[in-house]
Amino acid sequence: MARTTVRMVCLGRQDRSDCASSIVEGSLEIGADAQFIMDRSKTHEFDQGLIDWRGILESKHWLVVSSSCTLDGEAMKWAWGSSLTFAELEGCKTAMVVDIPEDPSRMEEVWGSVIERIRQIHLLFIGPSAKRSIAKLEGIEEDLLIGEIRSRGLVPIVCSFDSDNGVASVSHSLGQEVVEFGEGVKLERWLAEFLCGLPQTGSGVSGIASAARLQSG
Amino acid sequence: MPLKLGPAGVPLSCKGRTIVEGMDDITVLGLDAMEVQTVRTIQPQHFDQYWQAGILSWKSDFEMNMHGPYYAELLGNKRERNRTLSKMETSLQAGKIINARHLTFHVGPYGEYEPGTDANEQVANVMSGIVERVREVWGVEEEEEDYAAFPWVHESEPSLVGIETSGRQELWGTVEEVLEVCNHVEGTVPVLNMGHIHARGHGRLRTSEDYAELFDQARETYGGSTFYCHFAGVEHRMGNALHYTQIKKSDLKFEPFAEYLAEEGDWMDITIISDSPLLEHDAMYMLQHYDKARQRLLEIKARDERRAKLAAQQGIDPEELKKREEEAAAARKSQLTGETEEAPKTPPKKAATKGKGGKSGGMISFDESADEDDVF
Repeated sequence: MARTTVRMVCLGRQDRSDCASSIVEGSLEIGADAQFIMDRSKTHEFDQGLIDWRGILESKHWLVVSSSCTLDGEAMKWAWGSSLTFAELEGCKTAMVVDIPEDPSRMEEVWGSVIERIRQIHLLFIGPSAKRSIAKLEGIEEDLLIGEIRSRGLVPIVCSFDSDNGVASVSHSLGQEVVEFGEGVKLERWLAEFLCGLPQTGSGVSGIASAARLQSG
Repeated sequence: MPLKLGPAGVPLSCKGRTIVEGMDDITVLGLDAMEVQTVRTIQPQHFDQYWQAGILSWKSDFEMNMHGPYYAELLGNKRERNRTLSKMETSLQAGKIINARHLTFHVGPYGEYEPGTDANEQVANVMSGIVERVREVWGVEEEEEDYAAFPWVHESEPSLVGIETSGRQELWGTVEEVLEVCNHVEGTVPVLNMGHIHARGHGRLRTSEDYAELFDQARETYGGSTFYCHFAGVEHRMGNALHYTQIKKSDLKFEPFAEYLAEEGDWMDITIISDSPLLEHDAMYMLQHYDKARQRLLEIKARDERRAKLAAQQGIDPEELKKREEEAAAARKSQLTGETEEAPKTPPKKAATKGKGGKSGGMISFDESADEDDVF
């Protein structure tokens, strides 16, 4: 079966220093049709009111959003919220990438913003250090975190990647997948493959399992 | 029938993110309730906002409500229960400051209990403790002077403690369990989360009769007429809610509920909170459907009255007149159909195309599902 091109847009930090931007850059390398909502050159001209959300999100598979955007000023925070709502309206699924902000003491603020919008998130990825921090905030054991967040927030897919051991964990509505890749597989690459794989394999149990293993195949 | 509708949280389209700004936006949209989400933490800096919101709701008809921690373990061990209760205590305090009419709480997993009387008794015990605490927190006479800026604390009834139905089999909170506990603990109110009830009942809420059955059950068991409901689309499988969706994308439709409320809801005092991913958009959608259902009902009533008057004038039975009207309508319809068939075919009007034009091949569909294409 021919692979269809996966279309995605990214709302990450303007300097692209965040994990969401790296993932979308990784997706470009594996053939996705990916674009960034903001050009790097427009750093100082950013006006969220000028973004044509419908045009950007129409017929896209994924909106990949960074949780760190919520700390990048009012315009960015507003754009972040709007992107989630317009994605929901346009039928574009949202992948939220939660990573530790530049100022780690603001992690609670970041996580609070994500929780507020939890129902608009289709896939929640929690980076390894963010996972530790959230587990502490929530008072949940780190190993149980993604499963607990999934069942508490009813997010369809919650996943994380242990970069040290090369282990991906995916908790979804129908169960849990743990895939061991060993060292050498990067977090960004795995998530890029996973995002590109899901539209092809579907979101059933076997579909999610196949998409999560794509990198190993 | 007093019906209040609103979103669970600050509207998504609200430029500001404070509760008061959210209330303004909700009022502009023609809605009149809000449920403040304290699902994670309440920080002291929020209390000023809460007080402003409380004042605004006290001076207007706006109903404020509050949702407690989004995960609870009231049936867990002592440590888990105390952890949940301490989070709930913060919600109680915040609920007082904000003038919340309802405080919604989950119970959580069954833990070591089996579903049944023991679990229900334990929940009833914990909930009666919470109700007692709410009453302690509200309206302590000695503190009246301290609360001069919070008139509702002494002049209003304390918040009702809402017990929410759950959407998963492993969590306490079937409709029966919730109604039973609410029946036994004064000061509590069932929070009927329609998405959860629908999911847990394997898609049981499909027609207005299904809603009638649900509220009849509530009327018989719980006896009260005050209801607090949550409504959102839901995806479900094997009796478990998988995730929330916008109403249009779910098999849980609002139209039958609106029909039931318009036709048979006169006895109820009901608040419906939209907790869909499209918070206020779906709250508006619900309001529109409720208005439509009421309009339809009024039209039917007006038609029946007119028919009764005409029948009296003509000295015949209204049923006989109805039959004649139906015959005349059928004749008119068949005449019109005949004329259309004979009429020469005119070229179809050019209709506006949605998005990229030219691919429709001249066929325009206004089917709602066209908006719901899932690229997956």
